[in-house]
Amino acid sequence: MMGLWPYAVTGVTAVVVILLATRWVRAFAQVTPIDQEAGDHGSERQDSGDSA
Amino acid sequence: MNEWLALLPVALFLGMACLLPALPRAWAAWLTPATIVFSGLWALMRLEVGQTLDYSLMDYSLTLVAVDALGLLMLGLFHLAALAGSLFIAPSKDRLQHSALLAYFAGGIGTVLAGDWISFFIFFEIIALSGVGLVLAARNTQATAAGVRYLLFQIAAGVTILTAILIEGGRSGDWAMRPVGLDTPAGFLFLLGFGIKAGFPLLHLWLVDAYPKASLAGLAVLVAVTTKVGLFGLMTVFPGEPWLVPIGVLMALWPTGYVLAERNLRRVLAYSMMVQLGLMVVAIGVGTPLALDGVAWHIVMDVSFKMVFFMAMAVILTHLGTTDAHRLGGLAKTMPWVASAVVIAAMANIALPLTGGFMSKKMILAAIEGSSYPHALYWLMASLSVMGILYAWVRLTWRVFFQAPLEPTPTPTKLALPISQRLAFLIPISVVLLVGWLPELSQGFRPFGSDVTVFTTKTVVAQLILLGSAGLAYALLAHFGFGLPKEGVRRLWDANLVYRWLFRTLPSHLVIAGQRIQGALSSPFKTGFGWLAHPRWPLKHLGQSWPIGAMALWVAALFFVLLLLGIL
Repeated sequence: MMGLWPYAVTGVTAVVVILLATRWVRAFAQVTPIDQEAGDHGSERQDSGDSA
Repeated sequence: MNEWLALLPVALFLGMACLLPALPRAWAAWLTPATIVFSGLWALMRLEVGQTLDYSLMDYSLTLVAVDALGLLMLGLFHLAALAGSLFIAPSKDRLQHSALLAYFAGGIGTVLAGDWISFFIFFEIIALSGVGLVLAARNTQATAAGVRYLLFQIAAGVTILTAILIEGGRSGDWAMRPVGLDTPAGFLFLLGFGIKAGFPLLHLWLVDAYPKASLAGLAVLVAVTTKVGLFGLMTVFPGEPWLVPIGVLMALWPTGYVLAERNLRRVLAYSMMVQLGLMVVAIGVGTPLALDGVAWHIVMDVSFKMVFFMAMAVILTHLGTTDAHRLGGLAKTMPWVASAVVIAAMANIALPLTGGFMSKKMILAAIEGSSYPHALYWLMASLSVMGILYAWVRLTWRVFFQAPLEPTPTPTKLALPISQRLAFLIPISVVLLVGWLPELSQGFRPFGSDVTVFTTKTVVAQLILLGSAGLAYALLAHFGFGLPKEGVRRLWDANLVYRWLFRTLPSHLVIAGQRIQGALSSPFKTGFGWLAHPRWPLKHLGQSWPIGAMALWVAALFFVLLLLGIL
C-alpha cells in the first residue's frame, strides 16, 4: 500500500527517540522528596479497612 | 416545579452523600451503586438535548441546567464511572469514601449540565472539595499532606476561575457559558484556572502528587472528573485557540521520562494521564468539529482505560501493599481477572483497532491532519501511541503481570476478587470494547456534528503498521540490551524541585521576612507608646498584654454597640 511507509518510519523512529530521551531524563540527579518518609516509592499500605 | 427535576441526578448524588454518614456502615455498599443506577436510568429516560432550568437569584437570571449533546455524553460517562467506582469500593465500609465519591460525581454532573458560569462555579467547587475528601480518606500522613497541597491548588484554580467569571460577567452582563478570547484579562484567567485543572505543565504538580497517594475510591475515580472538567472548560471557552496547541504538545511530551523511568507505578499512571490530556488540549486548540468530537469521545475512552489501570493498582496495593515496579511481576497467575482487564485497557491505550481508544484517537488525528498546522504535529501526536506501547504495555502490563519481578514479591497468593470489583472492572472494559466494535456508536453520536468516518481500511492498516513497526523495533532493541531499564528511579526532579520551593523554601522565607517586618514596625511603636505602660500612669493596664479572649470580648462588645447605634 502506498502512503503507509511513513507510519513504519514513525514507529521505529519514535521508539528510538523515546528510549534515548528516557536515558537522558534518568541521568538527572534525584532530588530528596518533599515527604521523606521511608517507603514513599509505593510501599505504603492503604489504611482504610478495605478488603479488596 | 417539573422543570426542577432536571437537577434530580445532582440532587440524588448530593443528598445520598450527605445521608450516608448517618446510616449504618454496611448500607453504603449497596446504597451508593443503587443511587447511581437509579439516577442514570432516570437521566437516560428523561433528560434530552435542549432542556433547560432557569432560576432567578437576586438580580440575576441564571440557567442552572442547559442540556446539550456534550453534556449528555459526559453525564453518561460520569454515571458509568461512578458506578464502577462505587462497585470497586463496595467491600469497604468507609462511609467517607462512599460519600466523597457521590459528591465528586454530583459536582461533575452539575458542571457539565450548567448553563451559566455561576452555576458552573458552584459545582466546580463541589468537585474540588470532594476530591480532597477522596485523597484524605486514605487516612495516612502522606495522603493528608498531599490532600492539603491538592486543596491549595484547587482553591487557586477556583479563585482564578471565579475572578475570570466576575470580570467577564460584569463586563458583558451576560453570565452564559460561551467562548472567551485570550485577548481579555478574563480569558487569560480562564486559561490559568482551567490549566490548573487540566494539568498544564508546571500547573500539574498537584496531579502527580495527590493522585498516587489517594484512598482506594480516590485511586479509582479521581481520574474521571477533575481533569476532564478542566478539558470541558477549555472546550467551552477556547475552542480553536492556537495557543493551546503548543501547550498541549509540551504537556503530552513532558512526562516521557517519568512514565518510563519512575519506580512507583501509581505515579507512572498519574504522569501518563498528562500524555492523553496533552493530546486532547492540542485537539481543542485545533478546534474543528471533528477535533472537538474526538476530544469528547477520547475523554470517555481515557477515563475508561485509565480507571482500569488505577483500579488494578489499587487492588495490587491492597493485596500486596506495594506498587513498587521492582517488586511486582508475574501477577497474572494470582490476579487473572485484573490481568485480563489491564491487557484490554493497554490495547485501548495504544489505540489498537477494535478498541474505543482507536476510534477516539483517530478522530483527533484526522482533525489534526486536516488542519492548517504543520504535518509534523500529526506525526508527533500519532507517535504518542508508541509511548503508550512502552509505558502501558511494557511497564504496566508485561512486566507487572507476565515477567518475573526484579526483587521478591511480597507473599503473592491467589486473589479471589469480590464480585462487585469484577463488575467494576467489567464496566469500563465493556465501554472500551463496545465503542471499538461498534463504530456506529461514535459515528452516530457526535456532540459537535462532524461526520468524518475514521474506521476505514487505511486507518486500521496504518495504525497496525505504526504499532507493529514500533513493537518490533522495541523487541529487537530490548533483545540486544537497549530496552527500557528494569530499574526504576524513585523520583525525578520536576515535582520535587518546584514543590520543595513552593511548600518549604517559600513559606520559610515568608515567615522570616514577616518576622523582620514585624520587628521593624513594632520597635518604634514600643518605644513611642512605652509611656502607656509606665507604672505611674493611671491607665497603665492599657499598655499591658491582654488575653486574646478578653480582646475578642471587647471587640464583640464594640460591634454590639455599633449595631445598636446603627439600629437606632
